[in-house]
Amino acid sequence: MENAILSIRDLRVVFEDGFVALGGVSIDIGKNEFVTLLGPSGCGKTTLLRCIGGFEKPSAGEILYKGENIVPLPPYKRAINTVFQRYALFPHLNVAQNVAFGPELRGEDKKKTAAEVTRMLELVGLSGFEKRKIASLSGGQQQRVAIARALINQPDVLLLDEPLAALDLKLRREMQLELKRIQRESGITFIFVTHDQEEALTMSDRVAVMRAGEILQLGTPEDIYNEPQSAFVADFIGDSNILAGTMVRDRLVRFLGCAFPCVDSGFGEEAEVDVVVRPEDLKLKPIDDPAENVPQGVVESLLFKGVHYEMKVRSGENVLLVHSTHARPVGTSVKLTVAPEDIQVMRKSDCSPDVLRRHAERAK
Amino acid sequence: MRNKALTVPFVLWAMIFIVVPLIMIVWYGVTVEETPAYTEVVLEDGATYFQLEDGTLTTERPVKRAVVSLANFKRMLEPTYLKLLLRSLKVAVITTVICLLLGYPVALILTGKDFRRPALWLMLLILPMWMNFLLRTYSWMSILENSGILNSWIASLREAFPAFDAMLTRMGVGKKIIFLYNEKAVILGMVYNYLSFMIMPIYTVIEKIDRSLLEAAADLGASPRKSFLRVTLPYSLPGVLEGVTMVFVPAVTTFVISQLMGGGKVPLIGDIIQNQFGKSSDWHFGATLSLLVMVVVLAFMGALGRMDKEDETQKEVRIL
Amino acid sequence: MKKLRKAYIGLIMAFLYAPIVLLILYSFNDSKSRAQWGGFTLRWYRELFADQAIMSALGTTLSIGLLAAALSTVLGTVGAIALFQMKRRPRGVMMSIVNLPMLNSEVVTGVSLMLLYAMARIQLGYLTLLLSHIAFCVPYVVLSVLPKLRQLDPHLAEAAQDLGATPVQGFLRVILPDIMPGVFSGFIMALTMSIDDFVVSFFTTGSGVSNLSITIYTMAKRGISPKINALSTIIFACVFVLLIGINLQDLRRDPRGREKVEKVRIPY
Repeated sequence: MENAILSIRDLRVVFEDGFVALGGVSIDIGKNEFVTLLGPSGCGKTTLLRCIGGFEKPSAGEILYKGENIVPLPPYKRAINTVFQRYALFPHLNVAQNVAFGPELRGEDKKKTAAEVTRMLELVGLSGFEKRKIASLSGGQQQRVAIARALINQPDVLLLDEPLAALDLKLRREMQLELKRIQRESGITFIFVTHDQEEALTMSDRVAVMRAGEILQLGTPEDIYNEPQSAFVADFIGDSNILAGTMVRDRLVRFLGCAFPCVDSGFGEEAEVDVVVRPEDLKLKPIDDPAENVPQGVVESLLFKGVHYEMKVRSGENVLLVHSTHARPVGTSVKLTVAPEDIQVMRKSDCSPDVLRRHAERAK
Repeated sequence: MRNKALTVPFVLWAMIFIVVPLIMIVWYGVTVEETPAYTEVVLEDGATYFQLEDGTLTTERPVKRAVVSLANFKRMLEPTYLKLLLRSLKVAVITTVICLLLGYPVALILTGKDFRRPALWLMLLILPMWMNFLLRTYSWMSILENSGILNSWIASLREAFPAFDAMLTRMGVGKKIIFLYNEKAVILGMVYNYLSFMIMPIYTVIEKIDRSLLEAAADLGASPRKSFLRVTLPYSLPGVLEGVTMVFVPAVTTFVISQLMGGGKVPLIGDIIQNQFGKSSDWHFGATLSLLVMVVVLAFMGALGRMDKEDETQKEVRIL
Repeated sequence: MKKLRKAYIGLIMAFLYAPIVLLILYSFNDSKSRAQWGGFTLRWYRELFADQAIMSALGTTLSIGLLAAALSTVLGTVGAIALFQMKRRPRGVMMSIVNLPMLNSEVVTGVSLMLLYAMARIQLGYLTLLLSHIAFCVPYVVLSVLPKLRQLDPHLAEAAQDLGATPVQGFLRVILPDIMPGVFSGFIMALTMSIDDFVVSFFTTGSGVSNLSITIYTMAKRGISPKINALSTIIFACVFVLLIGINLQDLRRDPRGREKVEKVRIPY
């Protein structure tokens, strides 16, 4: 990337007990970008963040900040700030003192700092909270103080380690929008760690899906959702049907016992693949529909989910998840159709047996 | 990467002031001082030589040296010392039981829900402990000694009420009652000095019992007596164990109280140890006895299951 | 029942305070026969302050107490942090070692330190007395600081460094203020332990250096002196004022006095 502010080159972290937390990760992060590291716990996303912050020493690799390797620098010499998972606010200081911690350490002018503190608290929506004790704040308010405390140092990069994990659902939604607004207004690069895929899709410019110390896929939320490149990513991002299939030839894939036209190519002929179909892309047709050469199934369950109905449809060995605004009673026989562009074909990867087994278990 | 600047001095300190001294006790305990047997030989040239039992000749007079020997362990098992140990144990057990019987109700009452300002009262109960240990013991001496306060009060009462005097005389009580210099006085001194050690931990534990537990017990139909037996008592057990240790350990090894309140007439194992480092000056035997005391105390705590208190849940965290 | 309970507490209080009260009363007693009341006097106080031996012992007790408390607070805090940062295994071993002096009886501690000085050929005196007091105070400081460290937010130090503080700055500005209550109560505990100690002092002092405990011990073995009554009165007054002062704030904050016992700073 040309205007990358942060370039991570082949970063490896091996813990003392031999556990490989990061197995050679590379990623370029641009100026003013909102990048999310997404993955299940233990995937290395927090380790990566801690390496950037300077709290973890990588075993190998480089972290280039504006072209300069910052790996040897201790945290207090990096122009990067962090919002910690549990905020790590200083309990013996009040709100204003917490926010002013950084400028005060640098010995900046007291008046200027006080004005800055006021401005920062305004930015995070906590005007008038200067003298409050940390312990008297709610989780969301503490969260905002932590952000203000980091932003006042005018970092070029802000690291956020699951900052919303401790908040309840409603507050989390609110803070997601708030964070996005702060990021846009401040023009700072945000690197955000979360295990919540919805959060990642909502907020990010780009998402890096991680697993076992590696980045599996890096792309815009749309890319990640619509064109997952592996069964793991497809499974981790949103509800999906993941099925074993065979690529008959370019643009024709066989699964559920039928051949479907699709838009993918380049897999070779008769190649084993994984196929992803999102539940909202599976269409149910009446059994007397004229469509030919499509799988048939029987509705096994029906749940009302507000915006749509969620149905489980059994087709032979498989049970498929279908979202539709149109309810079909349990026991109805249906035909299943998918538009060619809604079929995502992926190469087999080392975790596909795992994912497929889990999806098959749904059938029991 | 850990902060060696902190760890090294601390570990070093712990080694020098905790581990090495204990090794010294063990070393002194298993050795005795001995001067090897020798004969003086004056040779024709006038020089004096010293011949050891194995026949070697040296020019220097052999001096005392430490040799590994179990002699002191044998000596320790003599009835004199075993009796002292048994008496120490007896006095300590009686003291501990009295402290428990007196202290448990105090902790229970203070934590009761209708007792106001328990912390203040607890503080007042502990306050005498802040005075010097010797002064506390001394205060009882001044009351109980033969020409002490209590005796002079009794004498005044006798003067004021002849009937009282007559009654005491009939009972065979002399003009001066001897309160001090017996086992009871020693136990009194110990109970007075160590009672707070029993109250504190029990109070701390009972205070922490979730009140809703008691309410739940009452709700389920337990009488106050039953909810005490089923809830408070079992939950307070760790505090009791802690208190028992804190009273028993100093009680079994003290020599101050036995010397001041017992006037040397009730020697305990601690007195003998002190003697070995003072008058008798047999450090080796003193160390052997210290080892014995150490083993008794550790065995006692092992029996109470108080050896392993490490918090296993703590994660490794760096703060520097 | 309620009255009975209060009466019981009263009884125990009487048991604990009666000797002290009598001691105080008789310290003002102007009588040759110590047990008889002969009118009010301050004579024993004058004699007390004129007594060179007691005054120098008092000086030793206070200077040893303050020095030992200060030094063991530093060492104990350092130790607690070192322990806290250790890995589980070595930490377990070190914890057991640090706990040893508290498990062991004072006699064993005293004797073992005496043998240590003998081995190192250090003349028993003020220095050995001070070293010994530090030795038995440190574990108590460690024990009162460790829980405070465990309560810390694990990322606090990182947060300080993240905001530009060097590790030392971070410690002084963030960690230390936060664990201060534990450090303070460790100091108070060490001070009290040191002032109260007799047994360890007895074994580890020499060449004419004597603290209050040892002096009282020697005097009490010879017999009772009203001067000691006067001394007790003064010490009790100091302790009373000190302890009330330390705890008053906490007590006032909660008028019902239902605060947790940890808040009452009592060494035991």
